[in-house]
Amino acid sequence: MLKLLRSNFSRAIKNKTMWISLAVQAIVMIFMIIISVIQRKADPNSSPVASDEFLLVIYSLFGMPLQSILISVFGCQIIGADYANGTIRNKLIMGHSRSSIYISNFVTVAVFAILLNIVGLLTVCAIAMPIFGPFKYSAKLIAWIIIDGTAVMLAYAAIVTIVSMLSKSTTASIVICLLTLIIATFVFLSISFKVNQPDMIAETSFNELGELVEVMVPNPDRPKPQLKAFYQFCLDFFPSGQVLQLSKGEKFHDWQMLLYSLGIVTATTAEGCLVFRRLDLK
Amino acid sequence: MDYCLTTSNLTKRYRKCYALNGLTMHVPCGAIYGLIGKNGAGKTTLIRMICGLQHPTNGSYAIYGANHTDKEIYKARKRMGAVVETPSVYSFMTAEENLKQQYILLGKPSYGNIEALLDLVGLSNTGNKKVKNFSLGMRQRLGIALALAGDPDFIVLDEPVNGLDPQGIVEIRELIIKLNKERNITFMISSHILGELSKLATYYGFVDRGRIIKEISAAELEKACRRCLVIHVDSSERLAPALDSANVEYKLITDTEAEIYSEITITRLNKVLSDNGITLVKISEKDEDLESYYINLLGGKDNA
Repeated sequence: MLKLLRSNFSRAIKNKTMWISLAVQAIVMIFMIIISVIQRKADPNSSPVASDEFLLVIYSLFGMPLQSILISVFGCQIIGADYANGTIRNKLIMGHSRSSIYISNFVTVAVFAILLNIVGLLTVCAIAMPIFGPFKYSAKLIAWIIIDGTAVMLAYAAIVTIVSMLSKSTTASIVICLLTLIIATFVFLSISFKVNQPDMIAETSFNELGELVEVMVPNPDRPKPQLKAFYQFCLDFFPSGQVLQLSKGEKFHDWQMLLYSLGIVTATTAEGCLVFRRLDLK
Repeated sequence: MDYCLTTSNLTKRYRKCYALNGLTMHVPCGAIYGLIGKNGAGKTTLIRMICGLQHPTNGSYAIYGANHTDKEIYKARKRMGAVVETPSVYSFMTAEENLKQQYILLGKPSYGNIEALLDLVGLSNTGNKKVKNFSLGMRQRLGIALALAGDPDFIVLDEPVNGLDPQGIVEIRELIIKLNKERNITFMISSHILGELSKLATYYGFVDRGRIIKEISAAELEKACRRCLVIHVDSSERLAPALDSANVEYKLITDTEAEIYSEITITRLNKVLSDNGITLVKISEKDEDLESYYINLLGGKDNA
């Protein structure tokens, strides 16, 4: 396994996509900080910005899909190269087990996902904090955002690995991963919208005196309690749902989301190993 | 005899089609085993299977005694090297970088003999040239170098001279013979170029429709392919005594047909026969090589 990892990392270091992806992550963060500085200078009365906002950018609806795209491209490329060049055969011929090949590939993609997070965090700490001051969120909340955000990315790395290992084609894998990401984002946006529907809404009507009044009535678009609980579970369980919750920086089901992400990693990797062990290669 | 590879009733089925259909073979240690068969006979499927790329539907195979279902197979595979179909090399790396990758995967502590390995396969002057700019022949050589990187005892080569120029073919042949003789490496080579295979193989396995129809050593094949005179005569009873009296080596094919292996002039042969009251009806020379042996073997089977 260590030999496989050493080989993967030595290839990754030479991989331009990895360095470009890390640079993109840092540049995007710097760009967001510059925009905020310009806005604050242009409008001194605007509400003060805290470093926390940039932390949330990493795990936001903009930051997380960006990281997911970068993970998809890197993961599919590094794994797909083994199929495209036929070098996966060398690994099998020299006696590496299929499980260790699969797990080493997952670890490689997972390490890249963690690196992306680290680059994002370092950029926030190194550039945003000197300008906008320290974080205002509690240390516990910040820790959970980082832990859950990283766990989501690990879950996504596991999904990218299974798709790449079983589809055997770099292009097909990238397309599958990106399409899944886009569709999942829209599906969970709509679920999140339904879950966040208020229980009561204001409705205007005329009273007995003929005056226009506002009365609170039950929201017809509000899902039934059982359905709402199911939607909430989906938001907690699936990576795209977790991203939506993390991006708000409000209260979220921290340890449950961590467990779900780790569950996805374990289940996906176990299933991927089992299928890959039975797969006929050329 | 020790075998580095044995297969027993090996079967591979893709839906209703059998790529291997009860294939049983034995590759002796130290041999250069030529695997011969038509396109679609099952050679590459067999190679993929023993390399661990595909799983048998039925039957089993063992490498150095380790059955394919045992955990020991991973250890046994460490003694193997292979080039399956196209060489498995990273196209965006140089030859040296590819070998370094192979060394890392093998867990070799240093890159010490990469230069020697590149020199051995004739790629020492490729420098920073990426593999994507290599010719097919250069890729083949690099594939062989990668297969050699783990100091294997058993190398499997699938069509190793495909795409090589005549000079390259000679070099690869000499390299295989050298490695077989000097390092006692066992080779299993599948090739369509039978003339080329006959120059190096010490053992042959003929594959047809997913089965080994004949396994034969080069010495046995040479015997079977000996140059001889085929005679057809009119008398069946006196032919054997007549040939015995002339002290010639022969084999009776039918009552009136025999193959004469000894050096004998036609005049003398005719005299021996006529002295015994036998009329020589027809005489022909038979000079069978691997190619004609193969065609006869498969043709005969087809007609059976």
